[in-house]
Amino acid sequence: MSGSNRLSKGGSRIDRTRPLRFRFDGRSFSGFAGDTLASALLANGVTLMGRSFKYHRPRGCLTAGSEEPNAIVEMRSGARREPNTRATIAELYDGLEATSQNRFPSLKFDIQSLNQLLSPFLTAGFYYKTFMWPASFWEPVYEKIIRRSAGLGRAATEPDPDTYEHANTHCDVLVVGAGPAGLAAALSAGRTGARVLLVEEQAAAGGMLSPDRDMIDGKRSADWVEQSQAELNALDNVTIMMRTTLFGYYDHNVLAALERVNDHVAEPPAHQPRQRLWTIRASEVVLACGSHERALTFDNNDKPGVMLSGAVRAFVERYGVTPGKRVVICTNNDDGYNTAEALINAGIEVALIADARTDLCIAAQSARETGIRVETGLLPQKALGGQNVSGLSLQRADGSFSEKVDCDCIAMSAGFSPDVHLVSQTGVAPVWRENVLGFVPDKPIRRERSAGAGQGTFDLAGCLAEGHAAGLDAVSSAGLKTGRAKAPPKAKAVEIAPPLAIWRCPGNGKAFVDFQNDVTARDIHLANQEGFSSVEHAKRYTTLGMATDQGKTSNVTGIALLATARGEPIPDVGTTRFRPPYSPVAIGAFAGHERGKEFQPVRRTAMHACGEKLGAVFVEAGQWLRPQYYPKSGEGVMEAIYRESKQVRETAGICDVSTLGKIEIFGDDSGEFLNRIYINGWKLLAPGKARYGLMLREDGYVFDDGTTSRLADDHYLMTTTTANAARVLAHMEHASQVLWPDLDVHFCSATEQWCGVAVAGPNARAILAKAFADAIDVSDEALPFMGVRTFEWSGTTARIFRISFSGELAFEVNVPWSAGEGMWNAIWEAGQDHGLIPYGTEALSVLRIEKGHVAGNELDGRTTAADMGLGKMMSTKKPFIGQKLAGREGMVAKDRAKLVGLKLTEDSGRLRGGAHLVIDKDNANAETSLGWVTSVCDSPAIGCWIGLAYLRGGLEEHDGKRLFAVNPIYDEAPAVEVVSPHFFDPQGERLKGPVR
Amino acid sequence: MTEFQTIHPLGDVPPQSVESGDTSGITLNVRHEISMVQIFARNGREMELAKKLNIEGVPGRASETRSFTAFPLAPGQWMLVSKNAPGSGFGTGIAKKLKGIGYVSEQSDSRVCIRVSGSQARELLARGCRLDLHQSVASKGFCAQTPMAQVGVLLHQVNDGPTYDLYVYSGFARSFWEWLAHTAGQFGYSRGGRGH
Repeated sequence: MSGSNRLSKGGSRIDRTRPLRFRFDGRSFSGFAGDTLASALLANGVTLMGRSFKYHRPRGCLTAGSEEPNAIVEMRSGARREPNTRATIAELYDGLEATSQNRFPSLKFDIQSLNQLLSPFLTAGFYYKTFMWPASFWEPVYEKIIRRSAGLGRAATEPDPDTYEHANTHCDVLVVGAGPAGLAAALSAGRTGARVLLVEEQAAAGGMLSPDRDMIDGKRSADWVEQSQAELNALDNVTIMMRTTLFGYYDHNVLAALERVNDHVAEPPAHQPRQRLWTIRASEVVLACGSHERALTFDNNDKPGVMLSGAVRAFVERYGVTPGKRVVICTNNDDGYNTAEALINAGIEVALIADARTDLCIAAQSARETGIRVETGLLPQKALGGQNVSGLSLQRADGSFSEKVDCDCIAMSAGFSPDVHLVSQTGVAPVWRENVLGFVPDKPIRRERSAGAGQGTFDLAGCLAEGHAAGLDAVSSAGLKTGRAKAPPKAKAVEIAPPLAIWRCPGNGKAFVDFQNDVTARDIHLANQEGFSSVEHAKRYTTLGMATDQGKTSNVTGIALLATARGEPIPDVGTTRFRPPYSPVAIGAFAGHERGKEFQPVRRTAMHACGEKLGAVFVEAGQWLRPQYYPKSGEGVMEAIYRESKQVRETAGICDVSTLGKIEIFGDDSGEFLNRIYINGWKLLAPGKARYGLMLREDGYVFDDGTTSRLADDHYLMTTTTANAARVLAHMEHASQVLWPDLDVHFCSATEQWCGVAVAGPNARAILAKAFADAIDVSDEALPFMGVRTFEWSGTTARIFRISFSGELAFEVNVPWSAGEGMWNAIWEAGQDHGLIPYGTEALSVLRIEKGHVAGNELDGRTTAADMGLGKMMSTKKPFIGQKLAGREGMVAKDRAKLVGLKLTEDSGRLRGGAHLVIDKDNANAETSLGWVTSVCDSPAIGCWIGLAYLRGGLEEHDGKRLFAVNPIYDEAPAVEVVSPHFFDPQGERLKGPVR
Repeated sequence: MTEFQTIHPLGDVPPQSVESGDTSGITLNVRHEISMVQIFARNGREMELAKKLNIEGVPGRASETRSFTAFPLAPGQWMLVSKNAPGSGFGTGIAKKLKGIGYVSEQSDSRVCIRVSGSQARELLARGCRLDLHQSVASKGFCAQTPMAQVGVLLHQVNDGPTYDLYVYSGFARSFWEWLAHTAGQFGYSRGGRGH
């Protein structure tokens, strides 16, 4: 025995030879392997497991499954602390630690339970009514109060030490649920040889089957379940995934499931994930999701000890635990009698079965024959007792009879709602079935079908037959052969009397509909009275059906009560749309591997280690890691950038430019293709030469720029900006495949094949001459400006380009990835006598700003070629992409903002990107803004802060004028002078290098 | 002066393994010494090119020849992978053969090849690959370009063991390897020698 309420025998899921220790709210208890936390607590006589959300009322477990609204606890501690775990599905393990939540100072004595005294003010929508005035209190007072009161449990504050992963699987037939219908479906489908995947939320199959009382194919159902699982396990084409919740049903039969791989142990074993998120692509789906029992709505129906009838039965039969010693069963349907039978079999006293129906059904007659007191037409009115139920008062609907019965457990059933969550996610609107008193799936939209209780079939024989047929139907719908199917599993046909609709029992106290959100029958009535009569509005106004249980036990009752309030039939009210996830999924599972530094893959260049060796600070450029700057000891960021950019102009610098997009282009029509892609002409570019090109989007705005080199008659190499490499390739694919398939042009990315460095500065030529010695002549004669050569060096092919982004004498050298480090080292060593330094992306940017070269900041998708001062590049002799739309009125308007240079004219302060340019800094607003600053730097070459900006009227109107660069974020407005963007060496003399 | 050396994107990945326990585990190999070229047929010369190289253009099926494996990438486009080391003249040889009918882009350095083998290789790949690799759908010779762990991969089923080759862009190789090795830990894996 592991507690006062543990039965001496029974409990199909527990292993009495494996006792386990656990703690709840600091107290030690014991349970058995196979217990849930809820069953183990009940076994130990603990019925109080939580406090309700709004009124902080004491609550025990209502259910025995994932639909549990009350028994929600924090599990584990420290970094693994996890709030809102349902005690009814948390499997017990040795050393489990759990604490109750949403209470202070303790579960038994919760100060906030005083909220109940305020309950007349805390009705539906009280947020909207209570916190209206004074308006000045909204943020400082009300918001704080609401936030402190809101929420359940505390999330861990330390990083989660466990790992989560994603996985994919495919199948012909996916069966959701391993109850009798699901098992029958998996068997019939699996036997045909189809690829079948069976997923079950719980750790054990069988669903609501009673292990001993239900018989299938002449066997105890427990034996049938075991044999069925064994048969399925033996089939190579069938996979069973237990502890797996199918939580999302998306388009094209893509479904998502959460596998709780190691939630049932204290810590995942080494290398094992805690949870796994599955994406399932299924040709056909069988939904055998079962149903959820509903609570009867009577006063105090939320007291610990009041449970759903099926849950009471489950605790007795699955876990060998009695939730009480003297039980009253209140029901409106036949299933309550099953619970009575289970209790009697376990030796538990059934004080009374109160059947709301007036006719004596067959099950009631049988119960009476066994000596149980059965009263018909009798309804629960009010649960009695303090923190645990001690009795029940009952009366007839017409109030003609009333009595009180002592009991410590009330098993209630208001009927069963087919679980239509997943089918509703597909877009199917469930339809009302009066004989079921529930919503059932309508015609499928996706390739799915339902079976068993999930579509309102509650007798075992019917569930088995439907499951069997659904499995076969799914196989044939998947286009596979079913062959000669075995007969479906058989169970004794039982006549089930129809349930009676009882949505509100007599009484005028607190009768809860949604236990988790403390929504009472009165709240729903009030919502309708206040105009929130649409089911979607009432849901939001009352919070009915929200939070972790998503209203599994409460939705239908809530809808029925709304229908009553509206005076309309239930189908006219309809259901809310269920959305994924079916039950809570941890963010960790959605993130999977992609968190922390693995959030996205990192792209490294071939020379990454060279940068590391020289102390580079790396920056993320898209997915690439690029050296941003190379600080010397004791040097700050700004000093390092200043030093690097200064020294490049004085001696030489080497920069890793491998990340530039590189696209190899082949074909006889490559020149024509480039002509149409770029705004400038390409037909006359000779082999061995490079040219700067600018391309537009179809809408005429600038898309990207870079140099393209002609390596041979029918072979070009295009470079793109780092950011746009993939987009440019896609743009070209579209042009080639869709616009001009007749052109003989073919291309592929060469970004990763080739790595590259830029060597810039007056000493660049001397350094490369030494590094590549006899391999290539880099003299001005042999390699003039914009010249390109291919050469062999150290057994590898290299390409050298005489191009410059810095305005200095500069070269770019490309070699295959594997030779990158070797090339860097060779140049580095050759440069040691020539003052070579490494420079990063920041200095690269300083150098190009000084030259007025545009880059990403200026190519922001809103600018035209003319805005950048490159309007003359647009050829008028050929058509190109974007040409027509670039000629639109607004694109060529005179008052467009044009690229200009700015100089800070103050001795102190700095310029900042994003600042707006105004004439009067005391009248700075959106209307007076003349433009904006795009790029800034502290320029060693110019000797002050400089920047590039787009300015309405451009240089034509503002050359030499004094403006203010207003930055309200920093509360700065330094004075600037408008100048040409070509700050440094406007004639380009330095490209030639030092005069010999 | 530092001696010139070539490097491999996965050259500095430390040798590492995880005991496979009761499973038969996974073996991860990095295939060195292979050459790759991407080839394109001139417009209208696709059939001629395929015939010349004795390859097929069936999407999703690799063609094996004596000297290389060809993966169709798009109509008229293939990736050829040879067991010859880069610098062995493989690309030049192909370029000569295709003169007048196609083009060749050297790609030996653009990707690394990771060979995944072992009875649970399929389960490992399912952790990142959305494609159906079940034996009833994909068998020896199956190939596809698909994202895995957010990285574009050219996947090839080498045999029905199953053994797979994953061709991953060099820049992403380290990141991809870290994901693969981490994920393989649950099955147990060993790092094989230099695969060929």
